[in-house]
Amino acid sequence: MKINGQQLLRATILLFFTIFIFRLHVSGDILKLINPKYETLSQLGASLFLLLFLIQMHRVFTFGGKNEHHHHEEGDGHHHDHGDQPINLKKSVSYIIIFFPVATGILLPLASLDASIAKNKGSTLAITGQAVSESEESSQEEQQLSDDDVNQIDPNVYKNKITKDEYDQLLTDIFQQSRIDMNETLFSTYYQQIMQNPEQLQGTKVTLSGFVYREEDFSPQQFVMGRFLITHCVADASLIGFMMEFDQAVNIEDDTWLEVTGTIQLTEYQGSQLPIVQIENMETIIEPDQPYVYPINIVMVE
Amino acid sequence: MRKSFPSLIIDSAILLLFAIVAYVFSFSDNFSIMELPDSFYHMNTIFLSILIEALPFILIGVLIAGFIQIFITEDQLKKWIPKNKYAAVFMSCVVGGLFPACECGIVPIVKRLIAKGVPIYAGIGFLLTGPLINPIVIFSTYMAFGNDFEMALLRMGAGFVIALLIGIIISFLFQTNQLQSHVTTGAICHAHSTNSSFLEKAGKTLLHAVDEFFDMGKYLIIGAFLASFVQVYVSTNMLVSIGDGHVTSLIVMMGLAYLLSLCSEADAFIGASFSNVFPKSSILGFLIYGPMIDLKNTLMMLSVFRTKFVFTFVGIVTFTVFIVISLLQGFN
Repeated sequence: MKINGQQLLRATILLFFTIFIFRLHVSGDILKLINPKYETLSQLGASLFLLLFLIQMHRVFTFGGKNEHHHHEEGDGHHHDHGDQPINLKKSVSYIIIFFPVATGILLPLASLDASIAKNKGSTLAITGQAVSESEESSQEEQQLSDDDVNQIDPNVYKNKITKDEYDQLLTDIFQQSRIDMNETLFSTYYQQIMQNPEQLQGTKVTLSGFVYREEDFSPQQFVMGRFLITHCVADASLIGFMMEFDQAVNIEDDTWLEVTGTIQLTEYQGSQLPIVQIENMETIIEPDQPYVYPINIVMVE
Repeated sequence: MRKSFPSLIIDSAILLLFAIVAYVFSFSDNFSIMELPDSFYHMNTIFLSILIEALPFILIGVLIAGFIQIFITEDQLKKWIPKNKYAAVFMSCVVGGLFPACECGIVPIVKRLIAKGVPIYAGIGFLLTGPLINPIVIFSTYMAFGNDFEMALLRMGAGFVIALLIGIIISFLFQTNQLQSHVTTGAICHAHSTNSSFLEKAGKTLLHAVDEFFDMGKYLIIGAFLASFVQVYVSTNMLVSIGDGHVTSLIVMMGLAYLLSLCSEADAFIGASFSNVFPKSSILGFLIYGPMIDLKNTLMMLSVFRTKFVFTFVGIVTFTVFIVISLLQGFN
């Protein structure tokens, strides 16, 4: 009986991937990486790794000269790599590269995205990119506001399943409510609705939580409060949130999580009406276990 | 239960490996004391998230590639593909449009098809429309642009025309299959395994998938790493500040699509978030260019095709998308 070292190495790497992904699911860390909607798909991926590992194990051993695996008899010297050839430097490098993500996954804890990422992401442009603070006239309404996107980042996709009817109902109900509670499930839906209909919703109370984010040119009373919307995985995260205004300077550091109740106000900026939230009450909260929000999942019923 | 000696050995080795790997993982919590800058953790998180998201698609891709390798013969493929160049390009673009795939999962499939004798231009047509035109992408684009079909239709329509053009250009420039030599010999050395039982074939399909994974995996990993680096360390705001004219903004958006390497199913939302910064045509460029070619997919192609071909291909795609979008801009 012979053991083929390189086949064993391949099998071991496959097993590392299998356990790595399953472990992410068991510990719940997977939510720091992908939208829960894709959990099943990722589990399928892990199962495929397991299957490939089990199959690969049959190539590791050679018993009494009878080869279990495919061999090249033809001596043309140009082989496509089945892991039979001896390890050289180039192959060691490729195995190291393939193992690299598992290693960083074991060694480094997963972080959640924060204001420093928001700063780097183009998505924040939508809310903050062109915010210009005006001269400090104490009347709050005259503050210049950010050039908020009016109909982008449509959040009405996926995650928590609702039917199209329920969804339409949600969108109309918002106008009857005296206070909009932007909980995690509906955060993106309400966000979009407020951005699209700031006039009708002017004066409505709103409660939301999120982290604080500022650009250099904000006035001391201003900041953005928002959350990351994850469509697939954290690589496609975009910040959604509102410009906040308080009647005195706010001394809160970036990345602090707040729960705020305020009133939706309108500001005109470059000819378009933009909603801001005039803060009435705010308190610091600890970062929620699930800091991200997801688009809502509409079930298309026939 | 009696088992043969070999399978007993294999089973115990499997159990032993499980124990060892689980043991290694049990250490993982002890390492987290290391002090590194925050941005490093962010990069690692984004890197892993791209991988975790892409891996199921890659695995499905290598399984389909393994299936093509073992179950479909060169003769069958020859019969299906039209002799006429233009008809072949058109058919491959349509098939790609019907086939739901993502831009990394499709590379191993195209590699297998071309190694099996599918002409390079047909393979390329399939490679281009596979990730760009499919129901999931249409739906997410429709949603991302405020339940408006205009962008989704433009994306599909212009994308299809561009893919056709690229396929035709490729058909004039390249006659041979452009695969690296080891890929072709790989296909030939398997040819003798055609008349075995189904189970044997299924086993071979899986083993083939393993080899394919180790061939491709490293390029996906390098690509994901570079993309995560860009996301954390290159400021998009800076890029955006470069582009205000129609031409520069289109270049910026295409560059962004290339560097971010987003999945075609998720990029619509990112594209939409630029709507108030850039004109619609630039956004369209972002939506069409990204699924056709990006950083992570270029690296994967380098593992399959000759380097010269990959660079020419990237050039042709970039040029064609740019020209077609600019023309569309002119009409508006």
